Amino acid sequence: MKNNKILNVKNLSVEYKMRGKLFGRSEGASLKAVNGISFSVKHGETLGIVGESGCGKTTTGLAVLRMLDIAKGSIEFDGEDIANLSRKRLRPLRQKMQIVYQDPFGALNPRMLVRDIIGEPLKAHNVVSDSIEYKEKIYEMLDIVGLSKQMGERYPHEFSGGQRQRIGIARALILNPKLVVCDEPVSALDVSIQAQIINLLDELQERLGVTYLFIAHDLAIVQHISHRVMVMYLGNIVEIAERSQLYNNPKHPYTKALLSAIPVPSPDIEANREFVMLEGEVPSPLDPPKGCPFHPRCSEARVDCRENKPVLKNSEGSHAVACHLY
Amino acid sequence: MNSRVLLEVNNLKTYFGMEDGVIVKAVDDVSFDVHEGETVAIVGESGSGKSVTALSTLRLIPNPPGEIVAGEIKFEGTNLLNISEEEARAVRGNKIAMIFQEPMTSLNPSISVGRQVGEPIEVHEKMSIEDAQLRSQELLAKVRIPDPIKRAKSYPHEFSGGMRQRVMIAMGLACNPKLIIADEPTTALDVTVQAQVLYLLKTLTQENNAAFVLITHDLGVVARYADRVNVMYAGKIVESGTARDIFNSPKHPYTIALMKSVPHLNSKEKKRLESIEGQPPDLGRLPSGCAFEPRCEYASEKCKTQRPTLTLVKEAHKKACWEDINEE
Repeated sequence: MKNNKILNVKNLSVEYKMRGKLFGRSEGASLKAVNGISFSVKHGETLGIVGESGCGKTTTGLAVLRMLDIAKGSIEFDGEDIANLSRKRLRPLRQKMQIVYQDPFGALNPRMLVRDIIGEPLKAHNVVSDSIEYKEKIYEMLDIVGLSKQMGERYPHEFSGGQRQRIGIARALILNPKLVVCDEPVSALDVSIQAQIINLLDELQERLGVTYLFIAHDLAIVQHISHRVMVMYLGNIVEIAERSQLYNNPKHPYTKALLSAIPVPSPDIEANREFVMLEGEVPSPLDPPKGCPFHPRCSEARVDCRENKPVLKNSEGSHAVACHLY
Repeated sequence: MNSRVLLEVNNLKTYFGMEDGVIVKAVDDVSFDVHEGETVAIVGESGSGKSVTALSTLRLIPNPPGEIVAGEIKFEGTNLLNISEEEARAVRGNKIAMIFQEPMTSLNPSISVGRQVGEPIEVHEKMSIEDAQLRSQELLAKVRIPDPIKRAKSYPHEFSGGMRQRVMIAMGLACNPKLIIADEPTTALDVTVQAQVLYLLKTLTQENNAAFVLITHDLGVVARYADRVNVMYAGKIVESGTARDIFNSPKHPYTIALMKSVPHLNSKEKKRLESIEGQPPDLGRLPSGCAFEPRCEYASEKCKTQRPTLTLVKEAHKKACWEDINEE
């Protein structure tokens, strides 16, 4: 049987080394941004990653693209372990993996024409034979993301946030990648524009069969676009499940609190909702709590939770949770 | 509604002059009111004029380039636009408090938190520094900052984003204001912290019997906290009503479209979001008719040339639209 997983991550850890004695920390201290996580993504599916700032969701996205060096673990991408590949060996693989960034203002070179921004990956990977093919590909991409040919002859500053995000998506997709990491792709956009971009990403997936790793803090958007959702807290996966499972039957106390914290745009529903209000804030990843990373804020924490870190285990089918209660 | 009107904004126009001579009508003929003890939301996207409306209410528009060119802002019966700057200062931070979006930049980094929270009391109530400090510690306890006596001596950089916003709230509440205006108070915060801070803000305004004007782009937040809602688009209020009017039977095409473009957390199946095509208009070059007309699926010829004003749909529910739309 053909392997139906595009991405299989095992025991991945990413650490950031803290330099110098700044703030009194000794040399060589390290911040565990991602702490031994394992997950996999199927061809053509969207895995949403949610969590609050500092939970490691962006680091996870960058690590699977090997835009960061990893401390431990394996990343099997399209059948090949890329965790320890050299830059040179990674280069041809980069065609198959791309990224769309959060900030459509900072991610595009202001001094390049939009057509050259979109076409740059073609040149970098030497995949077109002549300038006619180059132009055709760019026009095709512009069309796919809903921009006109003429718009290619302009500079990024002439575009609105939503249009810039379309440019970023065109650039990411021009090499026909298998995996695209979308890092908060709509959080800088206005509500009415967010829907346009989300719909575009949905359409492109249907049309091109691309796999998304969709990173965002907005659960409503993640729930909308994802097939499966993974919740992270302080560098760990606390829960991962099929989207309706996660939203209708959340198990981890953190997932419950996160869902409850999000207001639903309906006064009738809000009036009858039960709240799980979380106390305190996310601890510093430089000094993570012992045991379960969530226990200091958890209303259901027991002695066990303070001592032993729970592992992620399946509670039913594809629904996995890292909590001593299950 | 039998409570008294606390704030009444009538036909407010705030314009900004640009360097190239273009006049940007950031707020254009806006009227709304706030009753004692209620929560009123002003909701809109970037550039809709919601923040400028709030700043105008406190006469905090930088001039130049901005100017309040017309209208009145009646607070407890006094038109705030007719009083002197000195009298306006006696209102700001005292009877009306404002909480800004950025708790990082709204606090002075070189003054201790306790001192900053106590400052409005020193100024408005002519209290001594020592007494103001004691009151400041009480306020910090009220916004649930742990160990307030010790934390009052800390500086803003020693606080997290959520804690800083609590400090801002404590400062806002210092003089027991009758009206609190919060401009995107939790946009910079994480979801769980956002929920804590908004809940605190709402509870404390209720305890103080103050009215609360909440400015936000987040429809979920509006649904959770607001009694009444004003929807703004391109410098104008396009629809206003109770939260249930606005969410359950929106009448303006922009509001209708906005409601459909946000994903609902509780929706069972995955369906396509309905997006609003195009972009919001350039406020310096507004069309002569309805500003939403170019993006509106219901627009007719009349909408191109004539600008609609707010008219009554039914009790307290108003819309600025020529068309009669019934969508459930």
